[in-house]
Order: sequence, then structure tokens, then C-alpha cells
Amino acid sequence: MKDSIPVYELSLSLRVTWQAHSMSNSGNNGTNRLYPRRQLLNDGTETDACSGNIFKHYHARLLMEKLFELKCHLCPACLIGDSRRAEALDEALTMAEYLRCGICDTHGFLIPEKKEGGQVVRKGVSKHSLIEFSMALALPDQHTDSPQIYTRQSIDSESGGQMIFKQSSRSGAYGLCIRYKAAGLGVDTNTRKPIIKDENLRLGRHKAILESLKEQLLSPSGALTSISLPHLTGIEGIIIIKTQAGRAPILSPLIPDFIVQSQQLADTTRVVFAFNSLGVFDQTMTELCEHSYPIYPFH
Amino acid sequence: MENLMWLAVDYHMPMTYSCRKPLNSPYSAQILPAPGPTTVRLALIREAIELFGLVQTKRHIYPILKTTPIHIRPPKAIGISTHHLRMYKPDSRQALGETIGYREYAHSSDPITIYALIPKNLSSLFSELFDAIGYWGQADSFATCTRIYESEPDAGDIIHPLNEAPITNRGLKQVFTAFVTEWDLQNVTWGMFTGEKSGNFFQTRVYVYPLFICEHHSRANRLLYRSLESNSESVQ
Repeated sequence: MKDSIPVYELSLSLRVTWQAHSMSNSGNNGTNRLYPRRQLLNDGTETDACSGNIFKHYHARLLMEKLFELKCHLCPACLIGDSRRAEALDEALTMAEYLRCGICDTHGFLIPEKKEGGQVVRKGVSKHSLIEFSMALALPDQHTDSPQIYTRQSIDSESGGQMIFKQSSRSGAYGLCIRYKAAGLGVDTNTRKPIIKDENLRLGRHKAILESLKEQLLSPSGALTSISLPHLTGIEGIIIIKTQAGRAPILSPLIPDFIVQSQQLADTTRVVFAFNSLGVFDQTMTELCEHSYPIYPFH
Repeated sequence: MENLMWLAVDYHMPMTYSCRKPLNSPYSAQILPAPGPTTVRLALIREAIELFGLVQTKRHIYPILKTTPIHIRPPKAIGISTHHLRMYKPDSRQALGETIGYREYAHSSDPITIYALIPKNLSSLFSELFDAIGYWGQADSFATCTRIYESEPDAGDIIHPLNEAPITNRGLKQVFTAFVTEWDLQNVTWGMFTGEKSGNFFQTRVYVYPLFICEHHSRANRLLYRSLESNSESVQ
């Protein structure tokens, strides 16, 4: 990667292999059984799933640490990891003030309109998230789960202290898609007006976003990682960068030859990088951090 | 009609997608198997503003989009599951608080096809707009345009308002139906669309789909294609 690549939008289609994880769960049966998340596919098979929400939360957390280290401004809500972000602030601010916070700028926020006695006392303000995660779906023929019995301390100590509960430990190859719209950095996504005009500030945020994304995929996290930190045993996929206004296409990693099909989408406005190992993915993302920059939306 | 053409656009949905049914709460949402005509029009306007700007969209694209007939062909097989999710919900003071919600998510490896009757001389502009659409429904319901071609919709394969559906002998037995919104094409104005003028320009009607529920579980459904014009009960 010699030349710098302008990024309007970037997409990742990934196949990641996680062993023995419980990163996303659908709920519990009282206190003794934790259920894994499941999604019915169109061929009638039910497969394991991980919610995209959990990946988004983890990315926001990593990004917050990176921006803090870079001494970028963070609002008081983002500084303590409050995922309501700008909505959790007590005072009403302008869009320029909201977007000073790198997390609010990247992950978006929603402040609902407030009425009192039929009168609008606070106008609704929002910014779309610039990074979106799909649900991760396990490849049906490359997935298994095994119920594990754990014990924990009972609240009622008179009943013997220990309480038994079951938790599924899941392993498999998962398809995951991510889309990041770099052109929205420092931009009011409702009016499409650039608010932050400092190129270095935007570039710093762009790099922090890509670095967080790389680290998130190389060191997966989610629910219950204190006792079931996943083993990452493989990653392969494709990165597509759209260099002009428009969409970076995403093909499903559940398609057997999705890498080959995605590579055929390369053209003058789409730059494509394929990877088939942790090392190549790490190298590609590191080079992208160093040799890419976010462009502004056309209008 | 000589100056018009049917543009057909196929969308690949790489992972799950979720287009909420009208009149459903976002905190307990059932979904449609494919986006409705309103979603398509709004997505085209959003992309027109992104690619060509607000002024061009208002002057040149919106007047055509406003009345362009839009038809939708849903995927031929769809799996739908209900998921528990942690959500934020505005309370009585309009402050966000945590809650548990339900939302359905669909998966299909078949394409969703959108048909639009457009002026022939604008086919490249509309192709660019359709190509730029990146999601249907929620923003994480990724969609990728895979093919744009000239093709007329087959009446048996697309969704219809109930009173216009080509249902023959079988009637409504097992046919998938849902409320769907369409613009009030006679009365919608740009001001209403942007919120500058008050007024509801949506019409919610019952639509029939060329789909039937082939498997029904407590937390999941599977839908399969069956032409609305077919008289047999066999699955195609």
C-alpha cells in the first residue's frame, strides 16, 4: 500500500472462528439456565447468533480508550462509558459542541424531542452511527455448542451456598459484516453539513476507529468473557473501500466463495483487500490506518 | 408509456435484516419480509440527497419519485426469528432508560427485487440511486445491489394491496398478509416530506405477499414463495 487511499465508506465481510464463547445470549430461564441466541436461516436450519449490539458497545469502549490516550475531547457521558452518549448530558448543546466528542461523532446519539404542556421545550437532535455491525451468524455446518454446568454463590446462604446453573459454551466459524462510513466524520448526518473542518482531527479519529476495529477483531469480547474469553482461531475475509460517494458492497460470508466473488467487485472506485489469516488481517488494517484518510461527503 | 421503462433491481441481504411493520412498537416489533413502497421511496430520496444534494433532489428527482409506481418482490425463502434485546426507551420525561425489547430479524439468501417504472432517459440516474442504497429498515440491515436490469414485474410475484391482488380460487388461505404503508400519491408535498408543513402523507393498507408460512414455531417462522396467481397448493 504505497499511496494514500481516500475513504468514503469501508466494509468488512469476515469469517471469524471463535472457540468456547458465550459472547451473546438471548436471556435466561430464571436463574439456572442461560440460553444462547439463535437465528432461523431461510433453508430451515437454526444457527447460533451473536447480536451486533454487543460488538458496537465493545468498539465504542475501545475507541473511548484510544481517544482518551490521544487526549481527544470526550463528553462526560462517553468518558464513563454511558452508551446513551449525548442524551445523558444535562445541558442542551449545539451540534458543533456535541461533535467535539469523538465517540458521539462516531457512534451517534439520539436526543428525543421533549414537550411540556404541549410546548416543545427541547428539540430532538440526533446523529447517525458511522459504524454498523451485523449480527454474527454461525455457519450451520461449522458450529457446535456444549452445555456447561457452573456453580455460583447463592443469595440465600442458608440453602447451602452453592447454586448450579447451565451455560452453553459455543464454538464455530461465524459470518460477520461491518460497515464504516468515514465520510460522516465531523458531519451532521441529518443536514450533511461538515461541522468539523480540521482535517487532522478527522484523520486522528479515522485512525482510532480503524485501530479499534482491528483490535476488537483480534481480541474478541462481549458477554461473560470473565469466565469464557473466546479463543480466536481464525479470520478470513475481505475489506472493500469505496473511494467516492456511494456504497461499499458487502457479500454474505455465509456464501462459500464470498472472497472470490467480492474480489470481482473491484473497480476504479472500489479498492479490495482479501486476507486469510490473522497476520495478513493485522498487516492490512495497520497499513490502512497509516495510508488512508476520510473524505467529505460531496454536498 | 413509450418513454417509460421498468427498471428491476436485485438486492443481496448479506446477514439478517429487520424492516418493522407499521403500527408496531419499536420495543416489540414484528417485521415485514421485504421493505414496503414507502421505505423504497424514502431510501431513494435519502440517496439522491447524498449523491446530488438537496436542491437537485427537490427540483428534479422528487417530482418523479413522488409518483413513480414501485413494486416489490420479496425473497423466495425467509427465516424469521424473534430476539430479546436490551434497548433504550424514552420515559415520561423523555429521558432514555433501559428496557428489554423484542424484535424479529429475517434471514434470506435470495434477492429482494424492487421494480420502478421510470422515464427511459433517466435510467442511468435511477440506476445510480438504486446502487447507492446500503440498507433496508434498520441501518444494520445491510443490503448490496447486485443487479440492475430492464424487466416488467410478474403480478403473481410481487406484493399487492388486498383489493388489487390477483388472488383467484385459493382466496386468502395461508397467504401472508401485513399492514404496509404507501405514500398518499395525490396529496404528498415536499414540505410535508421534510416536515416543514404538517400533514400525514402515508396510507396504511393491508397487503398480500406471494408467500406462505411453512413452519411456525414459538419464536421463529419460515416463509416460502407461492405465486399469488397459482391455483394449485403446491410450493414452487
